[in-house]
Amino acid sequence: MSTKKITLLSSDREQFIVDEAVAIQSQTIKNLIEDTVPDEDGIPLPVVHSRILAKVTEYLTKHANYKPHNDAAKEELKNWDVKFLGKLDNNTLFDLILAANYLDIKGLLDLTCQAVADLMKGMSVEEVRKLFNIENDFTPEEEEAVRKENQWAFD
Amino acid sequence: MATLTNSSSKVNNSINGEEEEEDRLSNLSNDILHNIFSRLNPKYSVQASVLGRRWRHAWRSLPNLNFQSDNPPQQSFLGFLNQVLILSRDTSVDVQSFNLCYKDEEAIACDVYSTWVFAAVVHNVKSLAIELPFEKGPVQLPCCLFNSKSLVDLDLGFGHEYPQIVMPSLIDLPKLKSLRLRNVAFVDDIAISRLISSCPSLEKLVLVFVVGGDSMKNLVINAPKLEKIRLTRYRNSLVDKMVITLLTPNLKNLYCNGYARTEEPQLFHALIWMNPGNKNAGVPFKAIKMPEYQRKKFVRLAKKLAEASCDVQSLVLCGRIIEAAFEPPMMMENISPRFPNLKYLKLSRTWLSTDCVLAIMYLLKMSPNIRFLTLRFYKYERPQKTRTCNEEQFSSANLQMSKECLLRHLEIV
Repeated sequence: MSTKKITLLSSDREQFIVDEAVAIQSQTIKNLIEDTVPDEDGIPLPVVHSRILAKVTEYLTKHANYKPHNDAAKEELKNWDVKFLGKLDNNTLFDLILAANYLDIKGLLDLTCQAVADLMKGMSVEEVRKLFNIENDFTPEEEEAVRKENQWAFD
Repeated sequence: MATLTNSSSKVNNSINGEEEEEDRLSNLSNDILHNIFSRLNPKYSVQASVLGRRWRHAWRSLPNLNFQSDNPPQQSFLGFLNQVLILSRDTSVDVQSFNLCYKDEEAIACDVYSTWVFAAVVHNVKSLAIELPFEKGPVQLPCCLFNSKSLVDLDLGFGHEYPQIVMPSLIDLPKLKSLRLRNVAFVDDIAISRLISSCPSLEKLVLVFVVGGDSMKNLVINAPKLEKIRLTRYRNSLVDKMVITLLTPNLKNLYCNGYARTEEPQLFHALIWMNPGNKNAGVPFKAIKMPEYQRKKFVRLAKKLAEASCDVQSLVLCGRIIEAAFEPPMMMENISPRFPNLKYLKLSRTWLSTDCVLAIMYLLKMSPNIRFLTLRFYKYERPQKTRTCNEEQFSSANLQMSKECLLRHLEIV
């Protein structure tokens, strides 16, 4: 077993040393390893803050070392994911979505997008606006018009 | 990337205790928003149009349309589907996946649904899944579904009435990689064989409870790229004497599961990984299905399976099949290695009867290169509990034979 180490460099120049097998779960990092001359300090990820990269590597490490063979193991991994998400505030959650999208980690992107979807489930439009601080840039007349236009979806 | 940089500066803001919080959701790219909304009821993404200008038309280009419910579709829902898929659809954006799944008892007519299948295919759908309890009459889906140039993944399930699917005379699914059919009836064996051979890229085939009546005699599965087959038989769904001919040089994974009667435990459970580089994997492999409750026939079936799988690298078998297939000879001394390539052996649903242990020993003797062995036992007292056996438990099974010599190659037991 080769345990080649990869150094990742966050936007605030903090180093994260992980196994290659852990790192290449990110398609972006995999491409960077293959296509670029390694930087002395590591692979620069200029758009991911160390606070988020720590979370990303935590996720990747768990998922790289954990190949579920049976239903019980799958269940445990699922529980780990739930716990992992439970510790995040909404801001971190969105940062993780952006990081997962940039780093091209499908599992993490799906997990975090599902988490946002779960937050919205069963909420009214007004509640969603409040939860995510969405500014209503319609005038009351416009909003009424849009509502009317799509009345069929509100029945 | 710009959004990402913004977000990190935003983090600083919130650390500095700034009250006004940023709208992170609206700042996400369309791709990510679609990812999130495809996990919600599509109705919800339309309702979201009143959130703000950013949201007004987002739902018109949703790439993934997943409709799942335990309740029967209401009339209003039919109108809703028309809106989302046909009337208001942003035609410049392809539909990636269309999934319509209702687990209702009441059977429905299929003609209403054809329009949406048609619309999905017109929008270059890649993944299409329909699970609806159709009426008994023939199911006529649009011809274009069977001639889609974009379809990669097709999953059809037609409910408890087993309606017959009408195949158009021309079928061409050049990109289809995965085909899954459940509770579907075909007019005869040729219809299903023709469908399969019209999918040159097919890698995965799942047939669950596929019915064909008495005309299902010789099922030919001709698919050069097929790697995985899963067949599940139900009552007389695949006729007793049906011969399945596999013309599948790249087959790696074959799973057959037959039930004699629904309340009986499964009798035939075998999972074989063919070695892809194996020259024998291309030879047509015939498995003859018989009423498994007749033990004699089952033994023959199991033996056939064992013969056909003599070049595999790994094997998963259940106890009943081991007993039947590997009835040991009286003399255990001169046994030729019949499984020279076998490295991974997993035995599940095993029990510690004398016959079974002897059969396992026989199988091990025939497999000189075995490296990994997993045993899962059903205990007599508590049949639901399974455990992985270690060497000590193995020896506790009253084995008189010199197990050291047999197990010397084993790295993991």
